[in-house]
Amino acid sequence: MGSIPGATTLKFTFDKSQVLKFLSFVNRIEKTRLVQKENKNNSLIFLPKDNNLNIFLENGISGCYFNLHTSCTSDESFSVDISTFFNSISNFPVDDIQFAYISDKNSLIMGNKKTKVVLETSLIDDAEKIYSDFFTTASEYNTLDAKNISEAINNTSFCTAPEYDEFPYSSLLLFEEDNLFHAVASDKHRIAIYGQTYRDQKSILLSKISSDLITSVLNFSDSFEYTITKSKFYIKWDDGVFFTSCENNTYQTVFQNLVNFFNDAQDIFSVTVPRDELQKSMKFISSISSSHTVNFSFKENTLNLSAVTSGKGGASDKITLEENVKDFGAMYLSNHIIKLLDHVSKNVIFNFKDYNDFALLIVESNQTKYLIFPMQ
Amino acid sequence: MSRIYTGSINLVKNKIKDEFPNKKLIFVDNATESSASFSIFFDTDKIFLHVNPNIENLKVISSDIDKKRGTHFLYYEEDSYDGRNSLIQSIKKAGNIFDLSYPLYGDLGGYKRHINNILSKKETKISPEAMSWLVNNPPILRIKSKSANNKKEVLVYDIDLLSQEISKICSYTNLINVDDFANCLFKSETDIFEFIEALLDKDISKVLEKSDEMIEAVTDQGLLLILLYQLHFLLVCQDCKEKNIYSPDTVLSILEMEDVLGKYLGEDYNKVTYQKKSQNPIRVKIEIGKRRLQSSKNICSMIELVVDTIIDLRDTGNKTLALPILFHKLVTV
Repeated sequence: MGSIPGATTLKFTFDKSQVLKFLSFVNRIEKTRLVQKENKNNSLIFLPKDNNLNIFLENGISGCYFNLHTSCTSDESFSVDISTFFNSISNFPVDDIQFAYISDKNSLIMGNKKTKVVLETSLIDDAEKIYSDFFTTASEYNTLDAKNISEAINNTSFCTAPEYDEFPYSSLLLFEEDNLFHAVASDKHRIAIYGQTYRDQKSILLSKISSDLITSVLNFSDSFEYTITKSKFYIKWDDGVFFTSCENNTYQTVFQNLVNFFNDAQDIFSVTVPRDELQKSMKFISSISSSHTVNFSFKENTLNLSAVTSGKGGASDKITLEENVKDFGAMYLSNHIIKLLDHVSKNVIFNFKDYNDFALLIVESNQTKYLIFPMQ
Repeated sequence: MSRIYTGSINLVKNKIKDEFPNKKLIFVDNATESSASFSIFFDTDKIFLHVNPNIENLKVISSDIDKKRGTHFLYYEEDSYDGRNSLIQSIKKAGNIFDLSYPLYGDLGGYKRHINNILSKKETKISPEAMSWLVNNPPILRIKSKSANNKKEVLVYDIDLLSQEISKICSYTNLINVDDFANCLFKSETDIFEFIEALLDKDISKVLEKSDEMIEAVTDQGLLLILLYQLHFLLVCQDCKEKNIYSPDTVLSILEMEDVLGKYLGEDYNKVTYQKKSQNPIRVKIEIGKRRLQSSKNICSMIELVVDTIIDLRDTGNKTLALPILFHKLVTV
């Protein structure tokens, strides 16, 4: 570090392969920021404590704090723009990088004898207070079953509507029962219910972005604790804290009523379908025909899949089934079927049920009940 | 059958809710996205209120109505819908256009009626002092209105903003007093004028007192830019008065630069497109009738001082020093 001139106040060194995953995650949080401030502040805050380097970032909705287990020479806080910092680190040609923060020049110099990057920094008046405002809570933490919450989110969040769509269909409802998390999601064209049926248990509503961030956080450790307080979902582990804001949860009846479709529908027939073969056919048909929908036509032991786009042509494929079924036809959104097949077991049972003359497709797999509404 | 609503969005919302209590009202900005996500299993009991739909959106809405995909109402902030569109024509023919416009500025009866309606819905009372404060400090909105195939700007009472503010106050009290409006949103505009009046009256203590509130509301740079804009307005008005131009219409046309805009062709001899920056005609009338201590030359000096401070602050200046220095300098001009 002797090669870097100037009044150095804080020095540290880290191996980029060890910290890149943390920086990538905080960079992702920054990218989900809804409102850009007029005078854009440097968002990644370095908070050294007892000569140990910590970083944190919050975007108003979510935030994450990491202890980098890196020693540093003094306890002076500063901040940098995460996007530039992440870009510099990820593109840096070697893994070992030395850093020197020079407070007089408001700059962070990083590099080695050969390569050097200088980034502009900002002074942070009271980093400790910002940290405690966002990341500390008096509420008691409980042990989090990471596998359970990860499954609950992964199996259901793909069924939420896009962000711009009608609230609360763009969100995921999580609720607790028997010390486990259960989830419900629907975009009005499909429903996913993981675990128990939602009646009126204590629940939280999370946006898809927040739920995706939660599943990513679960890769940072093996054991986690969580608490839900003041409309925020906190997850804590040995080296960090993550929080994300819950959404306005006043639409419980919407999620409560979803189960009625499962209960009120009448059986037409059920059939075991080879997942891989169906997935291959579906992808082939939807890519060739460029149609959003696919026709399911059952006759004896054959499932005929077809899609037609007017003026462009179409494609069809046959799958032989292990059993004979009744003659039946229905149309579904091909993308929804493809996504569903990504989340179900190998030999999945397709249950076709009648609901006011509409053929609903119901599938149960990995503790999750899925329902896909027909297109006509 | 579809409908068209114009005017206040809050009044429209309340009217639809009163008329269709069992239906859920959904506000739609993008008809294409809304149409793509429509589900007959979830959306049949909903009313889709399309906010200011354009021609493309009207095509999608018309197609959804033909396919009986939900109930669709159109809402236009101003009466600016295109009467040539077939969907709008059919709604017009069926007499389903509902005008829920804001009361025109000056229509005190209409304004008071709206205040009373809002209060009775909230089951809240208002003190006579607060009522008279609301009459003297109304929230005002400038909207475009069609009249004889021309669009002109009119001033109206902003009932939506008023309703929002009253709702906030009703969350903690059943009797509204003048003090409850201390932090309301429509007071800020009056404050800017009060601040500038104090500045022109050379009342430094009031200026310093008001400046803190103003900086908190609009930031230091915001305050300086507003001040600059207002000083330019005063400069033009003062210059007109010095040249014995007292006709408000002439002053308004000078302020809006009607004599310059659109007069010359561009470099390629094409017509230059421009957007007219409208001024409030009532403010022009008031300003023309006022006698100011400052001449146009004085106002020019004030503008120079403000510009210098903006430059200083954007460079390395300290706002805690630069702003009080500026205000002291301004009152001495």
